Amino acid sequence: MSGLIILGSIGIGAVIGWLFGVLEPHRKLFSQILAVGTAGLLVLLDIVWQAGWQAALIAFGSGFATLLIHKLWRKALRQH
Amino acid sequence: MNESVAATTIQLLGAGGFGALIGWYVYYINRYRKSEVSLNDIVTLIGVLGGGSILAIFPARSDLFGAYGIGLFAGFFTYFIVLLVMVGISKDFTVEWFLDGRRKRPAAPFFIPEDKVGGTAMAMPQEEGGKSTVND
Repeated sequence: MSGLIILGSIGIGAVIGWLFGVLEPHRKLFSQILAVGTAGLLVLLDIVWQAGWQAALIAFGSGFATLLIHKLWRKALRQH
Repeated sequence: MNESVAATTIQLLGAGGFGALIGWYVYYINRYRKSEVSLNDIVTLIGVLGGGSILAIFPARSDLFGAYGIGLFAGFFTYFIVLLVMVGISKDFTVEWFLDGRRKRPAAPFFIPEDKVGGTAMAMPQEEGGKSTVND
């Protein structure tokens, strides 16, 4: 796997993770998780098809890390 | 996984630029939402980012996919950083704008035109004390 593909996977995962961070839990938490999970899974499958499962794994890790960073940032803003 | 397809520099630049445009526009769309964030918004945006129609443009296992992802990251987070800098240097906005859209009301001689000719720079609350329509 080339360096470009690794960096690209990190990039796509980071953007999607950041967007997930915008969602706030509310009454329809289960349906949110289901829909977002399905959308995320479809993108991961796309990445598997495009660049292989290792790239998808990297994108998933990057997305999860970015989601955490986004949530921590919003928490810090609220405590500001 | 070592059989990645090589691409020319111009192809890589094109894929990266395409990704940057999409990334910038995705942040723009997310910012100009007219209502509270809904699940449909996120699912649609994710489809735009990484849906089959986008990724199918690039040959499988090619570096073009990587260039697209790098461009996407650059466009999306450049928009965010530009926003951070602008909010930081403005006297009319604070970091709380990222949470609930609060900002100072314009004082005369400044005003917001009724018809919002020239575009709405940042979505405004619909009424006094109204809920913000802007998110980070």
